Amino acid sequence: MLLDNKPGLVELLMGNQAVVRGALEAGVGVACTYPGTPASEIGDTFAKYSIAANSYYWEYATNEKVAFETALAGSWSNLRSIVSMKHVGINVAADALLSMTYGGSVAGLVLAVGDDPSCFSSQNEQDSRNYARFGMFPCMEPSSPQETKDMVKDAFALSESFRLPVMIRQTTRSAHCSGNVEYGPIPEQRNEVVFTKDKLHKAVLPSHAYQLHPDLIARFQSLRDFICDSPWTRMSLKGPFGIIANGLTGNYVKESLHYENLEDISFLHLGITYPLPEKSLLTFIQHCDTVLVVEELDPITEETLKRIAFDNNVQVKIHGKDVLPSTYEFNTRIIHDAIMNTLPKTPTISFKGESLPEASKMPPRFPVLCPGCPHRSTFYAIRKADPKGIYPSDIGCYTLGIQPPLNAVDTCVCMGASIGVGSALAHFNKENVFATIGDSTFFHTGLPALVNALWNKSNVNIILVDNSITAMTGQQPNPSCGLNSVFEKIETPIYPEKIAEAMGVQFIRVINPLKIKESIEVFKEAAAFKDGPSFIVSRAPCCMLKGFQKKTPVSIDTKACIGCKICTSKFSCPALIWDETTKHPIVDHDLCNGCEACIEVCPSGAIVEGKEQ
Amino acid sequence: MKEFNIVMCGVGGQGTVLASKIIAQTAIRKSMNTRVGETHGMSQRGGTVISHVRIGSEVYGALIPEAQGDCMLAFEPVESLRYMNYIRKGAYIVLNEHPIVPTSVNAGMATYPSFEEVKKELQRATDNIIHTDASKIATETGGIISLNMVILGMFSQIPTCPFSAEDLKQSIEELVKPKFVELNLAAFDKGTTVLH
Repeated sequence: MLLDNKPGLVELLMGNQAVVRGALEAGVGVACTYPGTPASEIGDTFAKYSIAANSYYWEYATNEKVAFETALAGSWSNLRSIVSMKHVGINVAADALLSMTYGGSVAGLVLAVGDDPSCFSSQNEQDSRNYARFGMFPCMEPSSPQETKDMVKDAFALSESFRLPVMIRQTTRSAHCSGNVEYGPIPEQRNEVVFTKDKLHKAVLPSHAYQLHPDLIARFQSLRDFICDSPWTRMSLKGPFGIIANGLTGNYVKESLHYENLEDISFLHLGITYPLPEKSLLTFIQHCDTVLVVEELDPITEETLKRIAFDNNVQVKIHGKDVLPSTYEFNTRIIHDAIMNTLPKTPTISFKGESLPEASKMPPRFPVLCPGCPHRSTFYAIRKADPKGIYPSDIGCYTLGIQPPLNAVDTCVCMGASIGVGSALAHFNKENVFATIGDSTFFHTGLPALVNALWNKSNVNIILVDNSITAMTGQQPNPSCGLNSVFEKIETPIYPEKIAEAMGVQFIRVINPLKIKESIEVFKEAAAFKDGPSFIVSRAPCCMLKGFQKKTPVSIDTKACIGCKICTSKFSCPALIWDETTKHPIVDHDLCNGCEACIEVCPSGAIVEGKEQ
Repeated sequence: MKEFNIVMCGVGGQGTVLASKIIAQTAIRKSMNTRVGETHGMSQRGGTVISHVRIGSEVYGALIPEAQGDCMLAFEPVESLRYMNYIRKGAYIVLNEHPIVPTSVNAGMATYPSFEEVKKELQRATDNIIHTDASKIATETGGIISLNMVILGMFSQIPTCPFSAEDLKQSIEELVKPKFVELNLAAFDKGTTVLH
């Protein structure tokens, strides 16, 4: 298991678990996160082993900025600290991140980030290396779980050498890739906790920042030289055609060369991808006549390489984004084809599989709200209460309310924007505005927007879809669910309705979304309330929650059924399947959890409580 | 063995992640290199999922390149079609006949093909298709939750499978919670009888 102190043991670890193992081997003292795919399992793994390890302070923070500040405080207290988040989380943490680099960290500070080329579960494809450039700190990119583990361990030492945070950049593909990892030792001792007062470096006042900026530049310069000699800069000089690749994408290069038996290609495999090892890059382009730069998303290496070639008057043809896309994740086929085209050489292998059947044979399968999910009922009731409303929403499982037939999400930008955008929409538009936000998202960045809506007297209707867990990212606890960061029960959950009450919101209701008729009435009442924001907590537990008790599936009274299809085509619970032969719905007993919300949806009383069999 | 690539596909929540882990764990015990690329996050909510399982002495990336899959374990009929470009000509397909009808069909926006149509499409790539209603077998044995074990049992019987049934069963014992081991092994054993 992950905590085994058995050097040489080989285990199957996911990239995200390998981050944790690397941190343990580095003697980590503080770990924290705000969950976000594809980085969530880093925090979840720290949570899982926190009590057994008894060697690090661990917390789920309310957002990425708070999480980063927690890790910074750890570093300043002489404890090796790690914070994990998804790429867009850095946008939230950036305020702290881009200023603390001036004064610097003390004990090793590692920022483990999950980028998401191809937008598997994110609102954009931003390339986190830009933050490394922006903040002038190193970025490392592993190519396998083994490298992830080893790199994280090295990152703490690198951070201490230059007093800078070190970013470990995984992408969805590396974070969620599992592979063999050979363990190293876990040290018995942790650093002693010491907070040394040092106003110049820990209080970035304007005068201090002015004084420290040249120091940051100087540290960055020495870092650049250091990286050329790092074992993570792997250069093999062979023929005049050269390839430079970052971390994971290096695998696609190696695989292409392997399949094609191409041995005379020079290859520079970068593990530290910012700052770039400029002396090594110069050596490489002086050796080659043509270079292909393989990097997903932004052309950061390519542009640097072109500058180095220009500054040093090196005649070399540099290919990059002219032959490779700036969007989406790469794979072996894309890289193979680019190599063969730029060499140029006729391929001996084709990565073209059997053609897919026509689309009509493959009905689309979008991710959907689970059978019995309370969010479905909330959205259904909102649409029933006011089909002409405007529906700003937010980030979580409930974003899936955007899909037909629910169509109850009109906008989604970033965490917390439902209330920020929604309260302003209510100022400008005559339609009623129903903003939906999840429990965790509310605490993340919804709170300041609620204060703003109240203060500026917006008539937005805020519907907090509270399923008592941070569901989408894999069931992490949050302040209102009654669990702490290690899933122990706490006596004092922080209830959103009490916060709203204390703020002075005038219209506050708590509803059970599975009671659809009552919910519709409350939403209508809220829309009619025009004296500031209304705040409705729509509370029912996530049916994926540990310990969730399924109830008896509902039954169909086929005599009463009028075949109107409202249950399947408007409410669209996956547990109800339309049967074209009988013209009645069928209940899938594996899927139905007996929430009984559909009973109130049926206009003819044909869906009835199930009987124990 | 240089490389053996297994394409595992189905619907989020069907247990593909554990099944891929069991195969990878077996490979590690046999001192092979492994890479498993999985789908997490939003697509797990009843969406289409694919796991790339690569084992052998020469494995690089987490993704199986198109046309390089040696075997496909399809937990759902339509999902086998969506990823059939990943397998080689003549690859083995283990196929569950039991459909999970997507909401797009329920909402009347699309239609679900018959099993015969699915099979006919797959036969463009290979004739080596082993199929049964694995969901039914699972439900009758350890519950639908043990579907992945039935599929693994079927996998253990294909001629090119790099592992014996006993190898895989050992990993099940190592990775499944003790109180569920017996049920899972029973489901696995049922899967092994499909070919006979």
